[in-house]
Amino acid sequence: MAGFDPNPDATDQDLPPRLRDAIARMHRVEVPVPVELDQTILADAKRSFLGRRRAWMLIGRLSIGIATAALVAIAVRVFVAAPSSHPPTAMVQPPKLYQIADVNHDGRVDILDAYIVARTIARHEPLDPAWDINGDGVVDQKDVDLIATLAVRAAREPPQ
Amino acid sequence: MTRAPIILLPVLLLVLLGGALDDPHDSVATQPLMSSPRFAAVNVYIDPGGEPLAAYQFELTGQGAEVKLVGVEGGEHQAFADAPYYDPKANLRNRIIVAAFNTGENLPHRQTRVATVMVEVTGPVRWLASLDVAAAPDAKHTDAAISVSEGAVQ
Repeated sequence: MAGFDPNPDATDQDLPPRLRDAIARMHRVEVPVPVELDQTILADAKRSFLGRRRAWMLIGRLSIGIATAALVAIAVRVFVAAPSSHPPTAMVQPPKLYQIADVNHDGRVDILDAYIVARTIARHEPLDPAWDINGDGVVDQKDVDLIATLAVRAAREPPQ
Repeated sequence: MTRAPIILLPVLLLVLLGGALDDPHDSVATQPLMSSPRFAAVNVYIDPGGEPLAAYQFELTGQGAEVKLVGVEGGEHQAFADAPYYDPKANLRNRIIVAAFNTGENLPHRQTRVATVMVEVTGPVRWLASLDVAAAPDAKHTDAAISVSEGAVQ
């Protein structure tokens, strides 16, 4: 098959070289481009590429920062927090609160501490201001409930 | 293509971080279950030995099974009929502390069911209870015995 190939780069066309060059010259359009326009386009392109480059640099630095933070968090979790398999509730509960709630001073907070306060309230006997566990200025049922809550919450503390 | 590691590296590390931050206790729940879960009521009895029981506190532990705490109900005697104090977030597989008191005069003197612990259990379980506090109205400790029995949920 020796038909016409529209591909101008094809080498097997049967046109004479001179004819082919003449046809090519007919379709060539000479457009004069000012040097200023060239420079403007080039400057715009540079600005555009510079902006993209800065954006990628910012993304890269941000990624490095996140990766570093994640590594630090993993390291802390693995090497610092791992030895204790219990939730750190002991840190959440201020030790001083337990000292105040230990009403009978037996070294532990249990239901007896709450009972002593509740019994004193029920009997309308003088109340020790130190039993104001929640610090609201009065010794009442709220303090009793708080002591009892502390007593049963000890279940989440690491065994002594 | 060369930028892909920049984005993928922190994503990968964050995924690893998420895995590392999982509570080790949560991993228990992901273990293969040996049998289907069932609901159970663990009845806890205290015998104050003839002394009036004004306050009690016990620890209950479920060993050998996956145990989830559902709730705690009060006992059969009027003095301890109300729901006792307990920590709803307690991990029963570790232990739960239950406590109650009554400042009145109508107190149990003999063995009585002081609380019922409602649980969801998967697999055979062994219940252990220890009595931390059993006190008379004068807030003094009394010799009392504790016992546990598992019953069906009503």
